[in-house]
Amino acid sequence: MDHSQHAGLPAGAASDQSLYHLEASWQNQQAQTVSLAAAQGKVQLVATVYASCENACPRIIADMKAIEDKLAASSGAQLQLTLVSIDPEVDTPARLQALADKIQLSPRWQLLTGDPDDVLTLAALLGVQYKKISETDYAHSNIISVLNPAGEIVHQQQGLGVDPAQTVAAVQAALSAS
Amino acid sequence: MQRLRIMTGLLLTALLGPGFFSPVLAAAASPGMVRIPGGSYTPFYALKKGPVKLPAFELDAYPVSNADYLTFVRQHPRWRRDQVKPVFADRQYLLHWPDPLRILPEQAQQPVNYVSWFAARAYCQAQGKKLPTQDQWEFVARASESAADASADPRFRQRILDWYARPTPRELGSLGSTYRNVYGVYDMHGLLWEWVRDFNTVMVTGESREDSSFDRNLFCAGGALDGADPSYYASYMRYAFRSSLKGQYGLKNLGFRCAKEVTP
Repeated sequence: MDHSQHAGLPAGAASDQSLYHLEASWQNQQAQTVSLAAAQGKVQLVATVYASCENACPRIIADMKAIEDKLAASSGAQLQLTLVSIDPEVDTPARLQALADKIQLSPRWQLLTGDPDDVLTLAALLGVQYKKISETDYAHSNIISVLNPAGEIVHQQQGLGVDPAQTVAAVQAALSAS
Repeated sequence: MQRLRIMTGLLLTALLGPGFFSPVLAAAASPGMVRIPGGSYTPFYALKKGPVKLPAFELDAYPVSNADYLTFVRQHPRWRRDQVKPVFADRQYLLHWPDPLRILPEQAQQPVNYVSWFAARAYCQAQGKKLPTQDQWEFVARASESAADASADPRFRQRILDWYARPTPRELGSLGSTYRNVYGVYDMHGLLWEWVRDFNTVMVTGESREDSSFDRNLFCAGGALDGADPSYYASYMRYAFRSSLKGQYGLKNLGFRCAKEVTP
């Protein structure tokens, strides 16, 4: 990725490669309307899940929690953890709130649902593929994306149960560069 | 040319009265589009449950042309080649145009190519349409000149495979230069590949992308995908091709057309 072209941008401004150009609004677990760009200036970790997932999703959330734990003490205030539902027609804010309560997520987390087309678009931006395989289940890529304060993907952790060291380092690098 | 054809159709309809033409034409609500009656169909990569029911929809009769796309770009400068955000389109975007706001005369009636999925999506939105879903596209792609479902017709299959086997020509053909299917939709095969709305909801076994090799750790419940009809190799090719795409890609042999939901 070529970052030289926007070297002169102020820290945290959305660059040409920024996902924050996506015009989409989401609902969080408290049914508030939010945009991904609200995390501009922070480092945002994004993964896609669906609330009724019993197989990989709890593990991807656990992986994200592990990253959060390693960073909370040093840079917790500059960290945003975001889960986006790929099943927005089923995953209402109330369902997402129930999930957040059940797995005891910290206030750094937001669980988002939105328009199915916007979910497709965000998935395309993140390089996530997903497919409904039954009434209740989806197959999907297990990818945790690290967005720097400008909204660019600077790192992606792929697969489950991966050693989070690289991702933690990527978050720290993104924070110190800003 | 496309407009001329529609105008002629309208004129004849006015002279002869509605209903004179086939139900397909009579039911087509939007200009330049064809109404596709819904139906039941089993996608190549089916849900385990089998056939899906597809409600009626409208589909553009032709792929989007360079001329139409130029009009869009003029109205929406953020989609100019020199202004688009690289996050939405790679460096190939519209690279075949001589200038960000100019096309060659011969390109006017050729399908637009080198367009990203994000750009195609924005174009359709600007027309009050959407990209067709994969199911919608595949449903119409099964139709030959004479049958709504020719997927079991060996000659139809072979024609598609022959086209896949040929390298992309230096010059793409013009709109309408291949065949008109039984619905009245042109060029579903033989001209160029087309984006679908949910291209990123395809998963095929294989090393189609280095970051998405099929792996149970990468894909939750991924082992549950089975081809419904493995003998239909052309479908497999399309699904594999789509799964290799990224939304930013602009490719020589990839264009699009738009669809619209209809209220029954």
